[in-house]
Amino acid sequence: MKGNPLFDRYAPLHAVWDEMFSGGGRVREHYDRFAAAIQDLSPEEMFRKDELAKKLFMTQGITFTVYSSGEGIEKIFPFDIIPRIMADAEWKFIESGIKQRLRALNTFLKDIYNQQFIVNDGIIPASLIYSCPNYLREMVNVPVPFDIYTHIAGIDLIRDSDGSFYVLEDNLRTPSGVSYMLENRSITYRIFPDLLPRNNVRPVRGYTDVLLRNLLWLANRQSSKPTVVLLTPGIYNSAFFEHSTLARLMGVELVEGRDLVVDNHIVYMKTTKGLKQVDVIYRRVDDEFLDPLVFRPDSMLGVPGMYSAYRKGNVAIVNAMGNGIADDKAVYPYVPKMIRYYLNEDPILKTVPTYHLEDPESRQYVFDNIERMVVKRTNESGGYGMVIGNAATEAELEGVKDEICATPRQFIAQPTISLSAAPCYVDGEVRPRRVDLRPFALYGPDGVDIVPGGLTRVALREGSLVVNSSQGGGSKDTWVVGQP
Amino acid sequence: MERSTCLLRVARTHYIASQDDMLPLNWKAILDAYGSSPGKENGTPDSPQDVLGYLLLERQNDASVINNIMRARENARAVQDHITKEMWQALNDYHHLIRDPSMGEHLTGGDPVSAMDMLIRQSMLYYGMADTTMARGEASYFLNCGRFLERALQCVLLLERKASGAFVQGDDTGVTEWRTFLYSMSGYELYQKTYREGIRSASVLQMAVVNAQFPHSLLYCLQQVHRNCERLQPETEERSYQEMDFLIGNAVHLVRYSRIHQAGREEVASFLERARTELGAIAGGFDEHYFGLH
Repeated sequence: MKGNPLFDRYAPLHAVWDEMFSGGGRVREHYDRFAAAIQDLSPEEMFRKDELAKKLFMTQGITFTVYSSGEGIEKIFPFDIIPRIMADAEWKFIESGIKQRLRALNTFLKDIYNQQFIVNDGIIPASLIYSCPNYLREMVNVPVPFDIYTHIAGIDLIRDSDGSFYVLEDNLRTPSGVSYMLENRSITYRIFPDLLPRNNVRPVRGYTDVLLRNLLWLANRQSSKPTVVLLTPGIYNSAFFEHSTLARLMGVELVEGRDLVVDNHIVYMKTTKGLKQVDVIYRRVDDEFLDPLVFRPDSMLGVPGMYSAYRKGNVAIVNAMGNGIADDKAVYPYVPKMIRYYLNEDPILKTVPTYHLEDPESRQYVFDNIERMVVKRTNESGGYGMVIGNAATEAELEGVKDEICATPRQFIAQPTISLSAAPCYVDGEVRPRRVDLRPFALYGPDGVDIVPGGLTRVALREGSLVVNSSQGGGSKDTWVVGQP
Repeated sequence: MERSTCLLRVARTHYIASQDDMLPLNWKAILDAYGSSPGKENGTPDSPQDVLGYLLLERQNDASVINNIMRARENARAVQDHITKEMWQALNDYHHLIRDPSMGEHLTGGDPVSAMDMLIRQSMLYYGMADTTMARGEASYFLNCGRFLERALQCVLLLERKASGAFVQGDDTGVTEWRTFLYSMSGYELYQKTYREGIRSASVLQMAVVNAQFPHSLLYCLQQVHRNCERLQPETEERSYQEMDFLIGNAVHLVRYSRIHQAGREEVASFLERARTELGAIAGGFDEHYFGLH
């Protein structure tokens, strides 16, 4: 993009895959049309577009809530106006990989809560399963509608310096970010009019239609209008914007635990016309808070008796309880084996090499090479509980080593992957920032549907590899460009 | 004013759909519905920005929003003694807003949605002023009769186009066509809450025609016309009121007892044509019995 003052000064990071530029500064083919469209964009015009995007986010209230921040409860979700673009062929590869992975994980959940063939056949050690705090004994032998546990999944992908995609982690409990994916798209066509149709970008707006269809299918009653609700922890939850957006787009009630009551193993919603039976609960409340009679007794977010209603088949819950065993970081390295075992196929998507720190040899290896490792707590998410070896202080490294020695099951380690970078508009300049990708998959009785693209998360701080919004990350619109 | 607001909503929705959906919009059909083509002799549709500019700001287009607003303002200026000052000012502000050069810049070079949002917001302000400041008397009732009659007519016209699949090319299932219709009528969320089965033409038709809770439905509009006409009764000759009551009642009967959700394509077209005729008769009735010389 010679001649454009913004991109003239753009310097891809050394030894890092750049999403837009290949070696020698050439624009990748699938970025061609976008690059041509913005070739003559002046810095002033770019600034105006960025300002418009910020204004639109503010006026439309696209926010997320941070638990501990001195600035206040709600923050505008940082958005980078330059989209991340993927070629159709590349997307098809990812799509097939995610479908395969999700089928295997779902089968694993069915198996692990029933006959446990995979344990009996020695593929996965029983100790790994039973030591996982997210393995719910309450879900053993509980029939699940259509045997689907992972109705909604967010699979995090990263790209290494050789351009290969790796699955970083699976999110099978309450994955979030889809509302930002939808809003990002609605902002992009405002700031770049006509660019989407010209680039043949595949739409994302069908997500809520597919989700609602899948939710309705889960209803057990013979009713032409099953009642679906979205259970939210409330306005102080970090993802409340997403809960309210999804409820509005699907036309379902947004409820909190106190809006529901269980009577005779049936879940009801309190309405001004009396109690109304609920058929499907799309819950954004964690497992342990769902039912104080069974899980955490101090939970104010759930509904007493919900578990028994679920067990009796009187209500469907999405995602099913107990999925945490499948997205536990310690179980993650076994997913390729699951694919081979359950599906008799070779994994399409690669996984990051992972060291179990219960194994003394692995542990020692990790300690000896900790500067090149990322240590993660198996039960944390959102980028919390993660120590990046080459960015941590000596004291932090020693601290984490002590914790590992004390409770090795709670940690895994992975070599630091050099996340790919994409051009981002930061402080008036175009700079490379690290990105990952979270496609969203919906698993219904009809199969797996994946929205083209998903959410590209950006580590907005220079040099950072942490893309999570709760730790300073932002997002980009993700385009999958179809055939012209 | 109502016609302008409807046109703005339709233009906004279809512009967004042209950006976000894979199916190309038939801008020519939209131009045919809301104004004549800007003059491309070979009939090729113009760019979305050109079309928007023509629909909204072109003085040569008799049906453009800017011309409608100017006419509304002129009418209001002539009857300032019957409307409140706040209402006049809201309309005047609207007039100045749409004539501002920045409006054209937004449409052609910037973000057209922002421009349309500003105009829609101004029309909402106008409606709010009318609703909260106008005394409930003859002026208010006539304003509402005209407003809801126009809204009903716009609903019918848009349904006629949508039912024939005119606006979206290659939309075999009709989903995109009906979705844009619902968004144009601010009815998408109500539709989702009422019908849990995905977008189906039968359900959309039912909601657009007979759902009395939907403020843009045909039945709702006719009921409002009837209600305001009833309130005019003390102010008018009994014979005139009887005539209008008959005409409106006829239309309400046609709409309320239609089984539109069970009708085939031809029956729907026939129904809509009859509805349009009835609405025209009501408008003619007002002309003859209230505004014409006896």
